[in-house]
Amino acid sequence: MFTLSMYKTALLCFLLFCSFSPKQQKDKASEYNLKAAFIYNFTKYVEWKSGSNDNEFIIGIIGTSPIIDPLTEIVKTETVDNKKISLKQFAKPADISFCHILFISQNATASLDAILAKVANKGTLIVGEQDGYAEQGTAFNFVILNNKLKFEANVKALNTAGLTASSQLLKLAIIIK
Amino acid sequence: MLVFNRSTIKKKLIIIQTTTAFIVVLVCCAFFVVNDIRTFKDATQRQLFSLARIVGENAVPTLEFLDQDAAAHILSKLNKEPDINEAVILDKNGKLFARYVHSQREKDSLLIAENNNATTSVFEKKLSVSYKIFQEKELLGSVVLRAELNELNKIISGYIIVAGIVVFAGIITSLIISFFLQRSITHRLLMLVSKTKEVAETGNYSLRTADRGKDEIGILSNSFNTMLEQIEKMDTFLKETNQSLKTYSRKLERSNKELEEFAYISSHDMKSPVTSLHGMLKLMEQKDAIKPEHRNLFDMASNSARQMQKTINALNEIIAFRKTLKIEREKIDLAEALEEVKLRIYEMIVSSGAVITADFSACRYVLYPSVHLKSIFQNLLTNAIKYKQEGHPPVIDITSYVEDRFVVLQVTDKGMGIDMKRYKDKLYGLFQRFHTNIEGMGIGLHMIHSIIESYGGKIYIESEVNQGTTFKIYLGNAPV
Repeated sequence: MFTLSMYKTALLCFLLFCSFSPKQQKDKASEYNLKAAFIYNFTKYVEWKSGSNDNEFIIGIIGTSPIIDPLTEIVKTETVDNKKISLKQFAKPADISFCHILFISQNATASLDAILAKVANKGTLIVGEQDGYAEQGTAFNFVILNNKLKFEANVKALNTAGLTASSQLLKLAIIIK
Repeated sequence: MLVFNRSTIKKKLIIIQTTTAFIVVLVCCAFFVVNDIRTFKDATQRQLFSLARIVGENAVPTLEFLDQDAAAHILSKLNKEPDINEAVILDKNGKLFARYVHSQREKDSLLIAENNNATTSVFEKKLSVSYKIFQEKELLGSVVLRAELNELNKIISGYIIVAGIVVFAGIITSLIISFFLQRSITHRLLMLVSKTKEVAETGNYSLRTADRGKDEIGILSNSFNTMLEQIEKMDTFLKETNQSLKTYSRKLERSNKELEEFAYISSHDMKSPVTSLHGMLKLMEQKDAIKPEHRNLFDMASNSARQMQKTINALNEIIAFRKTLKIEREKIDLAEALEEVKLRIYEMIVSSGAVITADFSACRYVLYPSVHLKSIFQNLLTNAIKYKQEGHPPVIDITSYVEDRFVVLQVTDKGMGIDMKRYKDKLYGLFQRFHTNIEGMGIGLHMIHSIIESYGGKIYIESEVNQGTTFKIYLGNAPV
């Protein structure tokens, strides 16, 4: 009897674990789907200074991230100003080449300062996903408020990067000074 | 409808005009009201649509960044629009994204049905507009606005008041106008009617209507005048003809009288020479002054003289009778008159063995000159006895009755009869004989006919040869 009850409990725990884990994975996936869509939508409301590499629009990602899959899907069909979008993945700040948008994954190991130093004044829109990144100098930063995906905007950082964000976009953002 | 049929032309015209005006104005008003309401609704719909478009364009980033609060914030700006009850933003899957409900209205009952585009009546107060939001040909979602036209009631009631005033004014105006206009019709018709009545009552055909209009009433008046003219002409013509006829008949009467006088004088003057000639011939015979070889000639002369004497006597008789015509009527008992006549010709009746039956029970009295009535009886009886069938005593049946205000004497005999086909036109002529083998002068029927005609009666004869004759004599007015 005892062994049976033990077995039962173990089975229950296993089932519980099993049921939780995919749900979390699913939430994670939908969160990154949204983030990818948001990043793509940012391109409609932000103006870049015309610069080099004008025949394609580059989105860079530093560190590994589940965002890569949904972004790859978007890139297949969508364009920005009739330009094809290409994805670039960087492992460390030193690898970073020019890109229009740089997404800093929370898995990135490099320090934010190093990344910021690397892309400063290059007209790159830096998007983070960790609390406090906007205060530290990324232009946009994803946050989750009340179970909803929102983004912070650092107007100063936008300006120093030489970018212009539309007021419509900024209305939706949490402005960080 | 019955009232309408009974009313005068004047009233009919006014009713027709007023009804027409009422219907026309009503139809016009209804048209304009409906049209204006539709225009108003169209304008409101366009307004709503542009509002939805503005809202939709503004809501694009909120849809893209899934910011429902921001979307709701945009929608909340619609609270300045009092007509909008509810506004909704739906995402591309048709799911509710953001919603706004006018604060003062109940929230539960409001739920927008998405396909609310069914055509509604003009007076429907609810309007619904939907705008689909596209971003680079990609459907992002849609905005639905639902409004209630609170002003529509006010507008409609305002229109109804205005329409009522217009209809009322239209009816009053048409009444006034028709009152003046109908004078040009009914007044003239009434004039015509009174003229017609006047002509009918006075018989004065020289009257004319004064209407000189060019319309149908004018034509009617003209035709009426023409008709009167023709009647007047005919009337004068008739009067003139009548006058000349009268003159002619007076002349005729006079010459007739003169002729009668002449006939009387000549017959009277011839009477004594013929009588003396007759006497002379008789004397010559008595004196044996005739040679036997001239006996034949003498007999012929003697016959001629006798014939001439007879003729002259008959002529005298007729003339004397004619002078007695037109004498006063009196009430006569038919049976008494018949008895008297029977006495006069008693010998004739007895010698012929005539059977005379009389029945005056249906009508016993008649107003007639006694002399003439007896003359009629006498002539009829003597005729019937004279022209009896060979070998049979005459059978005469006399009855009287009343027909059409006339007292009718019907005398039937079973005598020789008259060949009606042959003598039809000569029946009443003077000296007309139908049976030459029997002695007679041919004045009987002529006398009867003259008498009857001079008192306004008539005579019918039905007869068949060898069967008998029936005389129907319509004497004149029945007695009182």
